[in-house]
Amino acid sequence: MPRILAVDDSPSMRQMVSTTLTSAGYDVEQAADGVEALELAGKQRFDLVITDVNMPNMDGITLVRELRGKPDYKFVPLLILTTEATAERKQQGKNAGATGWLVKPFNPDRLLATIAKVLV
Amino acid sequence: MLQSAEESTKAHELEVSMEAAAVLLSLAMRDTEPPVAELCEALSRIGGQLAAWRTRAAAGQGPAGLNGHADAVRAQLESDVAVCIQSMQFHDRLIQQLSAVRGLLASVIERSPLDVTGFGAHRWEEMLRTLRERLSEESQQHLFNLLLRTGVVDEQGRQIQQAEGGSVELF
Repeated sequence: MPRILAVDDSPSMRQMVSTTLTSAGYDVEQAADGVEALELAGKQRFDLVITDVNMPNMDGITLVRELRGKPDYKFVPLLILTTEATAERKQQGKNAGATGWLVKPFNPDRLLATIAKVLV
Repeated sequence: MLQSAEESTKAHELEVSMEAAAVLLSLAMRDTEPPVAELCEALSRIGGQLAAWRTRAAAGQGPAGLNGHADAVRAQLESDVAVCIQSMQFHDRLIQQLSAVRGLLASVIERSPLDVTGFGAHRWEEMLRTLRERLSEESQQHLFNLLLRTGVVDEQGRQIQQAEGGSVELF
């Protein structure tokens, strides 16, 4: 089963994302910010990363940019899951190399459908 | 006389900031109501289903007692769990909005009295601009404007509030 890294500084959000993904059979690891995520991504390869934007230490857009700079993550789907919805922020995410932009609160079925789509 | 003017200025500064913080808190409280109500309804349905299962089990019927409705019951439970997961995310939104209030209040505390000269309409506009910068979601900004105009969030505001949540855009 694909391995997914869920990154969010909110423990409840990490839990909600993790519960949704594990119930669908995915293997999920969690990170509380961009720095922790980058460290985990350096130790093991994930098939998909889903990250929040506003986090301490390293934000999600910087994380996406950093991951895209790594050969192992050049073609790995990187999804942003955030409350932010402005066109400007979405463009920043796109420029950083994000695969898609999801606005919280997420619907579990739509999240799973989106992940299935980008993992193909 | 000068001291009195400074005191008056500082009092006005606090008044404006507190009013702005109150608006943001009001926004956060209204944001929380609908998902908590949906969460309660979903948990109630799950509880009812479990109670019905207990009754069947006590009567010795077991899963077979569902009389072919097992798929429908499972689908309903999965749907209710999805509602719980979606509604629980109100906590994350609430924390973000409360953080914005905390930031606003902290900025008032940190501001030196020397920095707060010139009040009235100009000061109010400055405060509104700061608040809008802190509200990163478009829906929050729309709601904030509605609250400032009317003091209440009507149906239009609720629609704006729920418009963006859950959207997906692949690049």
